[in-house]
Amino acid sequence: MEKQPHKAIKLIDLKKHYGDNQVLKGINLEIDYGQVVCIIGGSGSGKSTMLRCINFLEQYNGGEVQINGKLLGYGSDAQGNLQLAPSHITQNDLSEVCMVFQQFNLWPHMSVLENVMSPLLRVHKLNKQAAREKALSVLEKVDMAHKIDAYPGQLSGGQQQRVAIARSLGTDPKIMLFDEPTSALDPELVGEVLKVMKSLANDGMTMVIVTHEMGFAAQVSDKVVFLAKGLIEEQGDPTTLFTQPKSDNLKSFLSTWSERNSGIV
Amino acid sequence: MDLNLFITYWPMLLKGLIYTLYVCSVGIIIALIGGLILHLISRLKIPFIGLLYATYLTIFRGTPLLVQVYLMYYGGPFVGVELSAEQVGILGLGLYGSAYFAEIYRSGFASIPKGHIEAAYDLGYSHRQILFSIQFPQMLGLIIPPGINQTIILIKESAILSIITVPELTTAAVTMSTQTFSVIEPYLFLAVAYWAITFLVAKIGQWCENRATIHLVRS
Repeated sequence: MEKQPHKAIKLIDLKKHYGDNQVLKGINLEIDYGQVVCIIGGSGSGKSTMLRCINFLEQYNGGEVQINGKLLGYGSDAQGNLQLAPSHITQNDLSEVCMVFQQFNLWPHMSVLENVMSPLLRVHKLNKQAAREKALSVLEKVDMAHKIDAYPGQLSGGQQQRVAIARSLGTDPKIMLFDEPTSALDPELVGEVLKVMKSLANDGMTMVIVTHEMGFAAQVSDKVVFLAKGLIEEQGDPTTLFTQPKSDNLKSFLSTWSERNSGIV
Repeated sequence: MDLNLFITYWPMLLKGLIYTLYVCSVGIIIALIGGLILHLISRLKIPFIGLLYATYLTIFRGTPLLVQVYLMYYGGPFVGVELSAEQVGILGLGLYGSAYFAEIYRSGFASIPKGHIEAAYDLGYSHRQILFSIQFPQMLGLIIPPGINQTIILIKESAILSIITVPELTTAAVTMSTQTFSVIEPYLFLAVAYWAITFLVAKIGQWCENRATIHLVRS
Protein backbone atom coordinates (compact mmCIF):
# COMPACT_ATOMS: atom_id res chain seq x y z
CA MET A 1 0.00 0.00 0.00
CA GLU A 2 1.41 3.39 -0.98
CA LYS A 3 2.19 5.88 1.71
CA GLN A 4 -0.77 8.10 2.55
CA PRO A 5 -0.19 11.63 3.82
CA HIS A 6 -2.94 11.34 6.43
CA LYS A 7 -4.10 8.85 8.98
CA ALA A 8 -7.14 6.91 7.79
CA ILE A 9 -8.91 7.65 11.05
CA LYS A 10 -7.86 9.98 13.82
CA LEU A 11 -9.92 10.36 16.96
CA ILE A 12 -8.99 13.29 19.16
CA ASP A 13 -10.49 13.41 22.63
CA LEU A 14 -13.79 12.02 21.31
CA LYS A 15 -16.66 12.51 23.73
CA LYS A 16 -20.25 11.42 23.57
CA HIS A 17 -23.00 11.44 26.15
CA TYR A 18 -26.66 10.48 26.23
CA GLY A 19 -28.18 12.83 28.76
CA ASP A 20 -26.17 12.33 31.94
CA ASN A 21 -24.69 9.10 30.74
CA GLN A 22 -21.12 9.72 29.59
CA VAL A 23 -20.52 6.94 27.07
CA LEU A 24 -17.22 8.11 25.57
CA LYS A 25 -15.00 10.10 27.88
CA GLY A 26 -12.24 11.22 25.56
CA ILE A 27 -10.96 8.66 23.06
CA ASN A 28 -7.66 9.22 21.29
CA LEU A 29 -6.87 6.79 18.52
CA GLU A 30 -4.98 6.76 15.25
CA ILE A 31 -5.46 4.20 12.53
CA ASP A 32 -3.32 4.01 9.40
CA TYR A 33 -4.47 3.02 5.98
CA GLY A 34 -4.22 -0.72 5.54
CA GLN A 35 -4.40 -1.41 9.27
CA VAL A 36 -6.82 -3.86 10.81
CA VAL A 37 -7.84 -2.76 14.27
CA CYS A 38 -10.06 -4.79 16.56
CA ILE A 39 -11.96 -3.09 19.33
CA ILE A 40 -12.80 -5.27 22.31
CA GLY A 41 -14.43 -4.54 25.62
CA GLY A 42 -17.39 -5.45 27.79
CA SER A 43 -20.94 -4.39 27.06
CA GLY A 44 -21.50 -0.71 27.77
CA SER A 45 -17.83 0.09 27.31
CA GLY A 46 -18.70 2.37 24.38
CA LYS A 47 -17.16 0.37 21.55
CA SER A 48 -20.20 0.40 19.29
CA THR A 49 -20.83 4.07 20.03
CA MET A 50 -17.26 4.87 19.09
CA LEU A 51 -17.67 3.09 15.79
CA ARG A 52 -20.95 4.88 15.11
CA CYS A 53 -19.33 8.23 15.85
CA ILE A 54 -16.58 7.48 13.32
CA ASN A 55 -19.26 7.03 10.70
CA PHE A 56 -21.35 9.89 12.05
CA LEU A 57 -24.36 7.68 12.65
CA GLU A 58 -24.16 9.32 16.07
CA GLN A 59 -23.41 12.98 16.58
CA TYR A 60 -20.58 13.30 19.03
CA ASN A 61 -20.49 16.00 21.66
CA GLY A 62 -16.81 16.79 21.92
CA GLY A 63 -13.47 16.19 20.30
CA GLU A 64 -12.89 15.41 16.67
CA VAL A 65 -13.20 12.58 14.23
CA GLN A 66 -10.90 12.97 11.26
CA ILE A 67 -11.14 10.76 8.22
CA ASN A 68 -8.17 11.06 5.90
CA GLY A 69 -7.18 14.23 7.71
CA LYS A 70 -10.59 15.83 7.32
CA LEU A 71 -12.82 16.77 10.22
CA LEU A 72 -16.06 14.87 9.89
CA GLY A 73 -19.55 16.09 10.61
CA TYR A 74 -18.53 19.48 11.93
CA GLY A 75 -16.92 22.61 10.60
CA SER A 76 -15.60 25.60 12.50
CA ASP A 77 -17.27 28.98 12.30
CA ALA A 78 -15.45 32.33 12.29
CA GLN A 79 -14.82 32.14 16.05
CA GLY A 80 -13.40 28.67 15.78
CA ASN A 81 -16.39 27.01 17.42
CA LEU A 82 -17.56 23.71 16.10
CA GLN A 83 -20.74 23.81 14.06
CA LEU A 84 -22.69 20.86 12.76
CA ALA A 85 -21.86 20.60 9.08
CA PRO A 86 -24.57 20.34 6.42
CA SER A 87 -25.40 16.68 5.96
CA HIS A 88 -24.42 16.54 2.28
CA ILE A 89 -20.87 17.56 3.20
CA THR A 90 -20.75 14.90 5.87
CA GLN A 91 -22.02 12.34 3.37
CA ASN A 92 -19.32 13.33 0.93
CA ASP A 93 -16.63 12.88 3.55
CA LEU A 94 -18.20 9.57 4.46
CA SER A 95 -18.18 8.10 0.99
CA GLU A 96 -14.97 6.21 1.66
CA VAL A 97 -16.21 4.82 4.98
CA CYS A 98 -18.70 1.96 5.11
CA MET A 99 -20.32 0.15 7.99
CA VAL A 100 -21.26 -3.50 8.32
CA PHE A 101 -23.92 -3.96 10.97
CA GLN A 102 -24.64 -6.63 13.53
CA GLN A 103 -28.17 -7.02 12.15
CA PHE A 104 -26.98 -7.02 8.49
CA ASN A 105 -29.65 -4.45 7.57
CA LEU A 106 -30.23 -5.71 4.09
CA TRP A 107 -33.36 -4.25 2.56
CA PRO A 108 -35.91 -7.06 2.68
CA HIS A 109 -37.94 -5.92 -0.32
CA MET A 110 -34.97 -6.19 -2.67
CA SER A 111 -33.26 -9.31 -3.95
CA VAL A 112 -29.60 -9.94 -3.21
CA LEU A 113 -28.57 -8.43 -6.53
CA GLU A 114 -30.84 -5.41 -6.09
CA ASN A 115 -29.47 -4.80 -2.60
CA VAL A 116 -25.95 -4.57 -3.97
CA MET A 117 -26.92 -2.69 -7.14
CA SER A 118 -29.18 -0.13 -5.51
CA PRO A 119 -26.48 2.13 -4.00
CA LEU A 120 -24.46 1.88 -7.21
CA LEU A 121 -27.43 3.07 -9.25
CA ARG A 122 -28.79 5.66 -6.87
CA VAL A 123 -25.74 7.08 -5.15
CA HIS A 124 -22.88 6.36 -7.50
CA LYS A 125 -24.98 6.85 -10.63
CA LEU A 126 -23.58 3.88 -12.54
CA ASN A 127 -25.63 2.69 -15.48
CA LYS A 128 -27.51 -0.57 -15.11
CA GLN A 129 -25.00 -2.69 -16.98
CA ALA A 130 -22.00 -1.36 -15.05
CA ALA A 131 -23.81 -1.66 -11.71
CA ARG A 132 -24.76 -5.24 -12.47
CA GLU A 133 -21.22 -6.20 -13.39
CA LYS A 134 -19.81 -4.51 -10.33
CA ALA A 135 -22.43 -6.17 -8.09
CA LEU A 136 -21.73 -9.59 -9.54
CA SER A 137 -18.00 -9.19 -9.03
CA VAL A 138 -18.31 -8.24 -5.35
CA LEU A 139 -20.89 -10.98 -4.77
CA GLU A 140 -18.39 -13.38 -6.30
CA LYS A 141 -15.84 -12.14 -3.80
CA VAL A 142 -18.05 -13.05 -0.84
CA ASP A 143 -19.08 -16.30 -2.50
CA MET A 144 -22.73 -15.32 -2.89
CA ALA A 145 -22.99 -15.06 -6.67
CA HIS A 146 -25.18 -18.18 -6.76
CA LYS A 147 -27.93 -16.49 -4.75
CA ILE A 148 -28.46 -13.24 -6.63
CA ASP A 149 -32.21 -13.72 -7.06
CA ALA A 150 -32.93 -14.73 -3.47
CA TYR A 151 -34.49 -12.31 -1.01
CA PRO A 152 -32.71 -11.65 2.29
CA GLY A 153 -35.48 -13.48 4.17
CA GLN A 154 -34.57 -16.66 2.32
CA LEU A 155 -30.92 -16.57 3.38
CA SER A 156 -29.12 -17.71 6.51
CA GLY A 157 -27.62 -15.06 8.78
CA GLY A 158 -24.14 -15.80 7.53
CA GLN A 159 -25.23 -15.45 3.92
CA GLN A 160 -27.04 -12.19 4.70
CA GLN A 161 -23.96 -10.78 6.35
CA ARG A 162 -21.81 -11.72 3.37
CA VAL A 163 -24.25 -9.95 1.06
CA ALA A 164 -24.13 -6.92 3.37
CA ILE A 165 -20.36 -6.92 3.10
CA ALA A 166 -20.67 -7.13 -0.69
CA ARG A 167 -23.10 -4.21 -0.67
CA SER A 168 -20.51 -2.12 1.16
CA LEU A 169 -17.65 -3.35 -1.03
CA GLY A 170 -19.52 -2.36 -4.15
CA THR A 171 -19.13 1.30 -3.26
CA ASP A 172 -15.31 0.96 -3.13
CA PRO A 173 -14.80 2.05 0.46
CA LYS A 174 -11.30 2.72 1.72
CA ILE A 175 -12.26 2.12 5.33
CA MET A 176 -14.71 -0.52 6.56
CA LEU A 177 -16.23 -0.52 10.00
CA PHE A 178 -17.66 -3.75 11.40
CA ASP A 179 -20.05 -3.49 14.34
CA GLU A 180 -20.09 -6.96 15.91
CA PRO A 181 -20.57 -8.55 12.49
CA THR A 182 -20.89 -12.10 13.81
CA SER A 183 -22.73 -11.53 17.09
CA ALA A 184 -26.18 -12.21 15.64
CA LEU A 185 -25.08 -15.41 13.92
CA ASP A 186 -25.47 -19.03 14.85
CA PRO A 187 -22.06 -20.37 15.90
CA GLU A 188 -21.68 -22.58 12.84
CA LEU A 189 -22.17 -19.57 10.52
CA VAL A 190 -19.53 -17.36 12.11
CA GLY A 191 -16.67 -18.96 10.20
CA GLU A 192 -17.88 -18.10 6.70
CA VAL A 193 -18.17 -14.40 7.58
CA LEU A 194 -14.80 -14.28 9.29
CA LYS A 195 -13.28 -15.95 6.24
CA VAL A 196 -14.56 -13.15 4.01
CA MET A 197 -13.28 -10.53 6.44
CA LYS A 198 -9.90 -12.22 6.58
CA SER A 199 -9.60 -12.08 2.81
CA LEU A 200 -10.47 -8.37 2.90
CA ALA A 201 -7.75 -7.82 5.48
CA ASN A 202 -5.28 -9.67 3.26
CA ASP A 203 -6.27 -7.42 0.36
CA GLY A 204 -5.14 -4.45 2.43
CA MET A 205 -8.51 -3.00 3.42
CA THR A 206 -8.46 -0.62 6.36
CA MET A 207 -10.75 -2.23 8.90
CA VAL A 208 -12.05 -1.33 12.33
CA ILE A 209 -13.82 -4.27 13.88
CA VAL A 210 -15.82 -4.36 17.08
CA THR A 211 -15.84 -8.02 17.95
CA HIS A 212 -16.08 -10.69 20.61
CA GLU A 213 -14.15 -13.15 18.45
CA MET A 214 -10.81 -13.03 20.28
CA GLY A 215 -9.28 -15.78 18.17
CA PHE A 216 -10.08 -13.85 15.04
CA ALA A 217 -8.79 -10.62 16.57
CA ALA A 218 -5.52 -12.31 17.47
CA GLN A 219 -5.14 -13.68 13.95
CA VAL A 220 -5.92 -10.75 11.70
CA SER A 221 -5.45 -7.53 13.59
CA ASP A 222 -2.44 -5.26 13.57
CA LYS A 223 -3.68 -3.61 16.71
CA VAL A 224 -6.18 -4.48 19.41
CA VAL A 225 -7.83 -1.77 21.44
CA PHE A 226 -9.45 -2.54 24.78
CA LEU A 227 -12.20 -0.16 25.82
CA ALA A 228 -13.54 0.12 29.35
CA LYS A 229 -16.06 2.65 30.64
CA GLY A 230 -15.69 5.00 27.70
CA LEU A 231 -11.91 5.14 27.66
CA ILE A 232 -9.15 3.24 25.91
CA GLU A 233 -7.63 1.28 28.73
CA GLU A 234 -5.03 -0.62 26.78
CA GLN A 235 -3.91 -1.03 23.20
CA GLY A 236 -1.18 -2.83 21.36
CA ASP A 237 -0.34 -5.66 19.05
CA PRO A 238 -2.57 -8.69 19.64
CA THR A 239 0.10 -11.06 20.90
CA THR A 240 1.29 -8.74 23.64
CA LEU A 241 -2.19 -7.61 24.57
CA PHE A 242 -3.66 -11.09 24.84
CA THR A 243 -0.70 -12.77 26.52
CA GLN A 244 0.54 -9.97 28.80
CA PRO A 245 -2.44 -7.82 29.71
CA LYS A 246 -1.48 -5.03 32.10
CA SER A 247 -4.70 -3.58 33.45
CA ASP A 248 -6.94 -5.49 35.83
CA ASN A 249 -9.99 -4.82 33.71
CA LEU A 250 -8.43 -6.42 30.67
CA LYS A 251 -7.15 -9.35 32.72
CA SER A 252 -10.59 -10.11 34.09
CA PHE A 253 -12.19 -9.50 30.68
CA LEU A 254 -9.85 -11.98 29.04
CA SER A 255 -10.19 -14.57 31.78
CA THR A 256 -14.00 -14.41 31.62
CA TRP A 257 -13.76 -14.90 27.92
CA SER A 258 -11.35 -17.84 28.06
CA GLU A 259 -13.36 -19.54 30.81
CA ARG A 260 -16.53 -19.24 28.78
CA ASN A 261 -14.74 -20.46 25.70
CA SER A 262 -13.33 -23.52 27.41
CA GLY A 263 -16.77 -24.32 28.74
CA ILE A 264 -16.06 -23.89 32.46
CA VAL A 265 -18.80 -21.31 32.93
CA MET B 1 -90.38 -12.95 0.54
CA ASP B 2 -91.62 -11.31 -2.64
CA LEU B 3 -88.88 -11.35 -5.23
CA ASN B 4 -91.21 -9.61 -7.70
CA LEU B 5 -90.46 -6.34 -5.88
CA PHE B 6 -87.03 -6.40 -7.42
CA ILE B 7 -88.52 -6.38 -10.93
CA THR B 8 -89.75 -2.87 -10.24
CA TYR B 9 -86.91 -1.65 -8.06
CA TRP B 10 -83.74 -3.10 -9.56
CA PRO B 11 -82.91 -0.04 -11.66
CA MET B 12 -83.07 2.16 -8.55
CA LEU B 13 -81.06 -0.31 -6.46
CA LEU B 14 -78.46 -0.67 -9.18
CA LYS B 15 -78.16 3.09 -9.43
CA GLY B 16 -77.72 3.24 -5.66
CA LEU B 17 -75.07 0.55 -5.78
CA ILE B 18 -73.13 2.36 -8.49
CA TYR B 19 -73.46 5.58 -6.55
CA THR B 20 -72.11 3.94 -3.40
CA LEU B 21 -69.16 2.56 -5.37
CA TYR B 22 -68.53 6.00 -6.82
CA VAL B 23 -68.76 7.92 -3.53
CA CYS B 24 -66.66 5.36 -1.70
CA SER B 25 -63.97 5.16 -4.37
CA VAL B 26 -63.48 8.90 -4.56
CA GLY B 27 -63.81 9.31 -0.78
CA ILE B 28 -61.30 6.57 -0.07
CA ILE B 29 -58.84 7.86 -2.66
CA ILE B 30 -59.03 11.26 -0.95
CA ALA B 31 -58.54 9.54 2.41
CA LEU B 32 -55.53 7.57 1.16
CA ILE B 33 -53.82 10.61 -0.32
CA GLY B 34 -54.96 12.95 2.45
CA GLY B 35 -53.76 10.53 5.12
CA LEU B 36 -50.34 10.28 3.50
CA ILE B 37 -50.02 14.05 3.18
CA LEU B 38 -51.19 14.44 6.76
CA HIS B 39 -48.62 11.93 7.96
CA LEU B 40 -45.76 13.45 5.97
CA ILE B 41 -46.65 16.92 7.25
CA SER B 42 -46.71 15.61 10.81
CA ARG B 43 -43.07 14.49 10.37
CA LEU B 44 -41.87 17.99 9.50
CA LYS B 45 -39.90 19.54 12.30
CA ILE B 46 -41.91 22.73 12.48
CA PRO B 47 -43.31 24.13 15.74
CA PHE B 48 -47.03 23.51 16.34
CA ILE B 49 -47.24 20.96 13.49
CA GLY B 50 -47.57 18.20 16.04
CA LEU B 51 -50.33 20.06 17.82
CA LEU B 52 -52.15 20.72 14.55
CA TYR B 53 -51.92 17.06 13.61
CA ALA B 54 -53.18 15.93 17.00
CA THR B 55 -56.08 18.35 16.78
CA TYR B 56 -57.11 17.06 13.36
CA LEU B 57 -56.96 13.51 14.63
CA THR B 58 -58.96 14.28 17.75
CA ILE B 59 -61.69 15.98 15.80
CA PHE B 60 -62.09 13.47 13.00
CA ARG B 61 -61.41 10.30 14.95
CA GLY B 62 -63.11 11.43 18.11
CA THR B 63 -66.53 12.22 16.67
CA PRO B 64 -68.96 10.04 14.71
CA LEU B 65 -69.00 10.36 10.93
CA LEU B 66 -72.75 10.95 11.21
CA VAL B 67 -72.18 14.09 13.27
CA GLN B 68 -69.43 15.31 10.96
CA VAL B 69 -71.49 15.05 7.78
CA TYR B 70 -74.54 16.47 9.54
CA LEU B 71 -72.58 19.51 10.66
CA MET B 72 -71.03 19.94 7.23
CA TYR B 73 -74.26 19.56 5.30
CA TYR B 74 -76.80 21.27 7.54
CA GLY B 75 -74.42 23.48 9.54
CA GLY B 76 -72.25 24.54 6.62
CA PRO B 77 -74.70 27.05 5.11
CA PHE B 78 -74.78 28.95 8.42
CA VAL B 79 -71.06 29.68 8.10
CA GLY B 80 -71.22 30.29 4.38
CA VAL B 81 -70.13 26.87 3.17
CA GLU B 82 -72.75 25.44 0.89
CA LEU B 83 -71.95 22.03 -0.48
CA SER B 84 -74.15 19.51 -2.25
CA ALA B 85 -75.02 16.27 -0.51
CA GLU B 86 -72.67 14.43 -2.84
CA GLN B 87 -69.80 16.82 -2.13
CA VAL B 88 -70.34 16.52 1.62
CA GLY B 89 -70.53 12.75 1.31
CA ILE B 90 -67.26 12.43 -0.56
CA LEU B 91 -65.47 15.09 1.47
CA GLY B 92 -66.83 13.65 4.72
CA LEU B 93 -65.54 10.17 3.96
CA GLY B 94 -62.24 11.65 2.78
CA LEU B 95 -61.57 13.82 5.82
CA TYR B 96 -62.76 11.18 8.26
CA GLY B 97 -60.75 8.44 6.54
CA SER B 98 -57.64 10.64 6.31
CA ALA B 99 -57.35 10.72 10.07
CA TYR B 100 -57.37 6.93 10.26
CA PHE B 101 -55.11 6.38 7.27
CA ALA B 102 -52.58 8.90 8.60
CA GLU B 103 -52.14 6.72 11.68
CA ILE B 104 -51.92 3.60 9.54
CA TYR B 105 -49.11 5.19 7.53
CA ARG B 106 -47.40 6.22 10.75
CA SER B 107 -47.49 2.68 12.11
CA GLY B 108 -46.23 1.37 8.76
CA PHE B 109 -43.23 3.70 8.74
CA ALA B 110 -42.57 3.01 12.41
CA SER B 111 -42.39 -0.75 11.76
CA ILE B 112 -39.40 -0.40 9.45
CA PRO B 113 -36.28 -1.28 11.45
CA LYS B 114 -34.12 1.79 12.03
CA GLY B 115 -31.09 -0.14 10.82
CA HIS B 116 -32.46 -0.32 7.27
CA ILE B 117 -32.48 3.45 7.14
CA GLU B 118 -29.07 3.76 8.81
CA ALA B 119 -27.58 1.39 6.26
CA ALA B 120 -28.95 3.52 3.43
CA TYR B 121 -27.74 6.73 5.07
CA ASP B 122 -24.34 5.13 5.54
CA LEU B 123 -24.16 4.21 1.86
CA GLY B 124 -24.81 7.83 0.92
CA TYR B 125 -28.55 7.86 0.19
CA SER B 126 -30.28 11.22 0.47
CA HIS B 127 -33.38 11.62 2.64
CA ARG B 128 -35.50 11.61 -0.50
CA GLN B 129 -33.91 8.45 -1.83
CA ILE B 130 -34.37 6.74 1.52
CA LEU B 131 -38.04 7.72 1.56
CA PHE B 132 -38.76 6.52 -1.95
CA SER B 133 -36.56 3.47 -2.33
CA ILE B 134 -36.36 2.08 1.21
CA GLN B 135 -39.27 3.33 3.28
CA PHE B 136 -42.17 3.52 0.81
CA PRO B 137 -41.88 0.03 -0.64
CA GLN B 138 -41.60 -1.55 2.80
CA MET B 139 -44.29 0.63 4.31
CA LEU B 140 -46.76 -0.22 1.53
CA GLY B 141 -46.39 -3.92 2.22
CA LEU B 142 -46.89 -3.36 5.93
CA ILE B 143 -50.02 -1.20 5.70
CA ILE B 144 -52.05 -3.37 3.35
CA PRO B 145 -53.81 -5.43 6.07
CA PRO B 146 -54.81 -2.47 8.29
CA GLY B 147 -55.47 -0.38 5.16
CA ILE B 148 -57.93 -2.92 3.76
CA ASN B 149 -59.57 -3.15 7.15
CA GLN B 150 -60.06 0.60 7.21
CA THR B 151 -61.33 0.62 3.62
CA ILE B 152 -63.99 -1.95 4.51
CA ILE B 153 -65.05 0.07 7.53
CA LEU B 154 -65.34 3.23 5.41
CA ILE B 155 -67.45 1.44 2.80
CA LYS B 156 -69.87 0.28 5.46
CA GLU B 157 -69.90 3.69 7.13
CA SER B 158 -70.86 5.25 3.82
CA ALA B 159 -74.41 4.00 4.57
CA ILE B 160 -74.60 6.98 6.93
CA LEU B 161 -74.64 9.30 3.92
CA SER B 162 -78.26 8.28 3.34
CA ILE B 163 -79.05 10.61 6.27
CA ILE B 164 -78.05 13.64 4.23
CA THR B 165 -79.94 12.38 1.15
CA VAL B 166 -76.98 11.18 -0.87
CA PRO B 167 -78.74 8.88 -3.37
CA GLU B 168 -76.59 5.87 -2.57
CA LEU B 169 -77.36 2.22 -1.90
CA THR B 170 -78.89 2.58 1.55
CA THR B 171 -81.06 5.50 0.42
CA ALA B 172 -82.34 3.34 -2.43
CA ALA B 173 -83.16 0.45 -0.13
CA VAL B 174 -84.87 2.70 2.41
CA THR B 175 -86.95 4.28 -0.35
CA MET B 176 -87.93 0.85 -1.59
CA SER B 177 -88.91 -0.15 1.92
CA THR B 178 -91.10 2.90 2.59
CA GLN B 179 -92.76 2.73 -0.79
CA THR B 180 -93.62 -0.98 -0.59
CA PHE B 181 -93.97 -1.45 3.17
CA SER B 182 -91.58 -4.38 2.82
CA VAL B 183 -88.64 -4.84 5.16
CA ILE B 184 -87.02 -8.19 4.53
CA GLU B 185 -86.45 -7.75 0.79
CA PRO B 186 -84.74 -4.35 0.70
CA TYR B 187 -82.67 -4.78 3.84
CA LEU B 188 -81.58 -8.29 3.04
CA PHE B 189 -80.56 -7.05 -0.37
CA LEU B 190 -78.69 -4.21 1.32
CA ALA B 191 -76.83 -6.62 3.58
CA VAL B 192 -75.88 -8.88 0.68
CA ALA B 193 -74.78 -5.93 -1.45
CA TYR B 194 -72.46 -4.46 1.22
CA TRP B 195 -71.14 -7.92 1.98
CA ALA B 196 -70.38 -8.50 -1.71
CA ILE B 197 -68.50 -5.21 -2.04
CA THR B 198 -66.43 -5.72 1.08
CA PHE B 199 -65.78 -9.35 0.20
CA LEU B 200 -64.41 -8.23 -3.13
CA VAL B 201 -62.26 -5.55 -1.48
CA ALA B 202 -60.90 -8.11 0.97
CA LYS B 203 -60.01 -10.44 -1.89
CA ILE B 204 -58.25 -7.69 -3.81
CA GLY B 205 -56.43 -6.77 -0.61
CA GLN B 206 -55.27 -10.33 -0.15
CA TRP B 207 -53.95 -10.43 -3.68
CA CYS B 208 -52.08 -7.15 -3.14
CA GLU B 209 -50.66 -8.39 0.13
CA ASN B 210 -49.37 -11.56 -1.46
CA ARG B 211 -47.71 -9.56 -4.20
CA ALA B 212 -46.26 -6.94 -1.88
CA THR B 213 -44.82 -9.41 0.61
CA ILE B 214 -43.46 -11.87 -1.90
CA HIS B 215 -40.00 -11.25 -0.46
CA LEU B 216 -41.04 -12.48 2.97
CA VAL B 217 -41.50 -16.08 1.86
CA ARG B 218 -39.11 -18.30 3.72
CA SER B 219 -37.25 -21.04 1.97
